[in-house]
Amino acid sequence: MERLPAGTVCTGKWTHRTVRIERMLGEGANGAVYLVSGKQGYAAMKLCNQSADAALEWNVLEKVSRTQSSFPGPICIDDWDWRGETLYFYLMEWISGESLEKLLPSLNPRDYLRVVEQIAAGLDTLHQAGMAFCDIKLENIMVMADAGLAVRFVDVGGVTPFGRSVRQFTPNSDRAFWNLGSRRSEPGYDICGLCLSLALAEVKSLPGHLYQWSPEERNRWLQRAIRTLPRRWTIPVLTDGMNGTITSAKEFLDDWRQGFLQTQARLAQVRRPPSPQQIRNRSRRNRPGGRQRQRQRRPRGQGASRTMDWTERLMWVSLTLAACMACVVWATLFGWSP
Amino acid sequence: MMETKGTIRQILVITDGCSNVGGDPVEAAQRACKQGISVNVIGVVDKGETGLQGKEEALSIADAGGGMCRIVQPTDLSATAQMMTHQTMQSTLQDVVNQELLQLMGKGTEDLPPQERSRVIQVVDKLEETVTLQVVVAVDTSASMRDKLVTVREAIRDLALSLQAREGLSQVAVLVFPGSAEEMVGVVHPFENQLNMSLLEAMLIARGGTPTGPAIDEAIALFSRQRDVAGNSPWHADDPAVSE
Repeated sequence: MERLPAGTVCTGKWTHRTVRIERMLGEGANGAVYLVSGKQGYAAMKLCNQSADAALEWNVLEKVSRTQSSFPGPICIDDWDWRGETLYFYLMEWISGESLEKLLPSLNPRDYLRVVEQIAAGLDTLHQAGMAFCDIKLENIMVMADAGLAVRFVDVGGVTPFGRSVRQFTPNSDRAFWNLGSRRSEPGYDICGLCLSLALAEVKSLPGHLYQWSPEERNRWLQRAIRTLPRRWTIPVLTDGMNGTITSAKEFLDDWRQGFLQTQARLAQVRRPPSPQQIRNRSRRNRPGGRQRQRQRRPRGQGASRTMDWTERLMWVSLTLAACMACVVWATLFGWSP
Repeated sequence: MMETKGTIRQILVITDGCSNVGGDPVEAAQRACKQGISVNVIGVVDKGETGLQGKEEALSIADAGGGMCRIVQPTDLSATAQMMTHQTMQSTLQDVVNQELLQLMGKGTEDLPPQERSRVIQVVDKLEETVTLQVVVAVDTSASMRDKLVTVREAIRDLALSLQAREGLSQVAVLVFPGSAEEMVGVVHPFENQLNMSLLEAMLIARGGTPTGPAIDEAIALFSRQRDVAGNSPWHADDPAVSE
């Protein structure tokens, strides 16, 4: 489907609603998302070539909006006859902000903790409604920096009721790809997908031939790679989430917070000023070094209890011998004969 | 398009070039279509190659078979195979539902307003998840496919993982063309309860020409034999994971 230029006007066939295309927000396998403006302000428009794609996503949007608000709110669904073709679209709430994919490298530890807490809370609400997000990836998670780092989800294309095969997925955050479980919709699928997304975002580089490896080989690489993550405190909880030990968003939230608090406690201990006992211990450790320096300055013979080790004995013997040899040589030079 | 039991049958041809041995593949695809079997074609090209030799033929085979055609890189093979299986199923089911609507109400889905249309598509979506699906993957193992066969094998395994998660019954068979010895087609994996990865090892040998036509005919024969075999239970959603 060709890109629509800014300024294109779209009129719905059934609702007769008119909107103006401002710019493209994203493009996917089954269509594109545009920012549009109309009488009621800004909105996001998902435009598809096939009516089934628009209709299915609209159904999901309506269904999730009844129980939670992480996803965009639905506005309307319609057809559009454009240049002899019928295109299918729906309008939804426009979610501004930056994707977590772009924002992640710049987040400080406390903000990172909070953002992921909110993702887990959003997932929990979705799971209570009997559905899994399924296509969890950092580019589908939007963070509102000017709204206290509020988190919203975009792209309902993958949302699947529990028990069914996952409707849409991305290999990197799909647990079956990494031999970590089935491709069936359930809360654990989302927890695993979240942990995979967070972990792989911090891994230096992915191997080039992933698609030629078996799932078992990919799993082995993954288990090694996760131990190299820079945010060490995340390793236990992300490992548990990936390997299926954590199966609910609430469990994940608890473990995530615990991991962070424990690491903060350890850091606090390191930074506290030393106690008097610690100072005494430190100076006791320093004394052998002082003794070393004194030994070198003190002339030989003093300190009756001090014993000489064999290297020192050898040194003195060699020096004495060398001195004697030198004296004999000089004496011979000056005419003395033994 | 569907049997009375409600089974969807598809042939997925994975090839990197023109057929040059045996009968006309376009005619074979037409025969498949008449029997209610959709034929999809994936053309695989590596980065260095200029384009698919026989792209026209691939498009014609898919057209005649009522299916889709895509030309992709090996890394996109898995995602494309799954997308095409899903799209073709959806399209087949939509046709069926559309026919019913036309008979009942005198108008098809496209004439309905979008809100009502989306309720119809929900029915199609549910059917897609629960209907029995049989897929024969026909893999080109001519000499030029040598470097791509490992990726093809993993793409088949990945497709099997997706299909196994469905609520409905799924069966996958794999045949190669050319086959071993002097035969034009070899069935390396018949329709079975679980995907047996060790059988797919036989798929990794690449040599010879490209008998696409005979491969499609053999796939049609596989479907007939499967229909005749009683009591052969296909995969069920409760089966354990795909075995090695």
